[in-house]
Amino acid sequence: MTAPAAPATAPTPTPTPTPTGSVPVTDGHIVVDSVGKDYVALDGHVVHGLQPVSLSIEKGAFVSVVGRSGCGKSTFLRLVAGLEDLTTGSITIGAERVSGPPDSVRYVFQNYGESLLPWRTVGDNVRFGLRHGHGPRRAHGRTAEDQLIEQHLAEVGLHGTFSRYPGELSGGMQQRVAIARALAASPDVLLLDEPFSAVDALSRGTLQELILRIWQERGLTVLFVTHDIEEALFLSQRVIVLRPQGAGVQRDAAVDIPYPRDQVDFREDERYLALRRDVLGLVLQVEREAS
Amino acid sequence: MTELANTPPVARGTVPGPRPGADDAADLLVSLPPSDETPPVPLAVAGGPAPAVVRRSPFRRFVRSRGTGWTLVVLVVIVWQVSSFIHFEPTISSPDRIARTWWREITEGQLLPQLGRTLETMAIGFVLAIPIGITIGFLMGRSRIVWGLLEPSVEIIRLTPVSAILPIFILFLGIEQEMQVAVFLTAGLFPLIINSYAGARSVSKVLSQTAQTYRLSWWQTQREVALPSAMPYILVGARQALGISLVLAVVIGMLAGNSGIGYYILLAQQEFNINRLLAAVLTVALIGYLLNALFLLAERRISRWRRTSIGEG
Repeated sequence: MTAPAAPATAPTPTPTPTPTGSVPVTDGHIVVDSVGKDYVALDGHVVHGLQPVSLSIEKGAFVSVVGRSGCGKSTFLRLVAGLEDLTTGSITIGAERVSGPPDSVRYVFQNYGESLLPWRTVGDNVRFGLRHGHGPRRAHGRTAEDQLIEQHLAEVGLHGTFSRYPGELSGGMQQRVAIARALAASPDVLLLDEPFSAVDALSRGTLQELILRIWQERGLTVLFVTHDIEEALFLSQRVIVLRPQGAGVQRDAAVDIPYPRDQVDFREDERYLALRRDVLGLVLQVEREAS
Repeated sequence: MTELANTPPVARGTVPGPRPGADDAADLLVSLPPSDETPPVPLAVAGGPAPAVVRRSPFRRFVRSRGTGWTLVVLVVIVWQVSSFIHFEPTISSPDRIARTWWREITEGQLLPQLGRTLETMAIGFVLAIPIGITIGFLMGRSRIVWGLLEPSVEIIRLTPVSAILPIFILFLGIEQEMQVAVFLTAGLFPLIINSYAGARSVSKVLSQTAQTYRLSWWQTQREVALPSAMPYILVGARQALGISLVLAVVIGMLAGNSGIGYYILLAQQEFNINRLLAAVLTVALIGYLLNALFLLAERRISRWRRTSIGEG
């Protein structure tokens, strides 16, 4: 990308010394090894966007990353997506070492309104995903392609919206289009950056169920960033809590509650309540210490 | 018009000594609209909100949105006509006389050939300006190298009034079509460059990152994401270029050359042929209105999706 405007922040060439907590990471679908990110602030100071983090995510896992704003969770996701350069460490996805957006990964943005192509119909937005997809071309000819697009739209519950424009749809439906577009690219890994935080509460519930269904049916590896601890616990097998101000991983908690999970029953489950109290207390405690 | 009203009525065909039109022409050139007069964000096409579901025919939509405005125009013409029956003032003539002159000038006079010549020249300049202007502006917005290379020249030439460049063109290219094409090209180029640049710069960060995560090449990103995203701006630029070209179309004929609609208007004025003068001016106004309407229609077509988000039917 050759945009004329100078980026406000640039990666520093100096690596942070002594990466902490370097665990032997050999197995796993996504392997994050001592990954850190520094920015240069406008006044020339070096800001730690993310202090070295190491973790391994196995194939087909649903993992959430939570934390207060400014904890580096979005930075972490953008690093995995190859949208930003690493200051330290390395990330491998499958056999591919991340340097730029990996082929097998698709990213769902929080800001669906700006991520969709507003001049294209819903169907043509999904076609964009299909044409710029991972692996061999799945449809030959316009008719076959249209059929495949209809299937993807049906998968996210958007029957009969093929020739509508994104601007005609509600926020929740637009995010569904973005998800259908990502799925059309047949990725192995789906990265979601606070995908439902701009959506109204009722739609959020159905979208959460939708993403769980897609994850299970397709066997995707999902990395989900959110500031909502309850959402993270409901969706994931594993929740990673980041310390404030990019200070790295605070807690890596397994959510040992079987699927399918019910929106109402799940929130009355003892194990959920215990985990929620635990994680929430942790976040609030750190908050108090900081102030 | 006020000046004309003060001049004494003169019999048809008399040619006065000095050229009273020269100063007017100079004024016109100076008052060329600056290219950034219109806001860079394209405004919605004027028109009342219509229900989104019902598809109306273009004609009915037109009547709905502009009906009252055109009624006003018709009323003014009727009042003018009626008042000319009551008391005829030769300096402002009357609609029926102008219409008769207009019809004669169109069918057997010089109005159409002269207008045609001007429009042809304008079209050549415009058609040349479109690809060049869009390419330069868009690439300046998308590539730091191109921007660095061209920004100083564009800024210098852009802020130089065409009226100042005109003598240079006349000196090197004469007063024939080559010079006129060059003027149209220069004048049309800058609104296109500025707006295409603004459009290219307006591509949102999320959209660029979306293109990145779908691993589009540089060329694919420009073609599939950046250019369509910039299109509303580019259309505004094209419409501004058209507006400036129309002004120049008349002015060039008045300042240089011995053909074209500007020359025709000047001649009619010098001969104090009020009917012919007004017929020609109204024709130019009509052409301007039609070309603009054509552009708006094209804009509606191309950016159909925008109306859905703006909430217009």
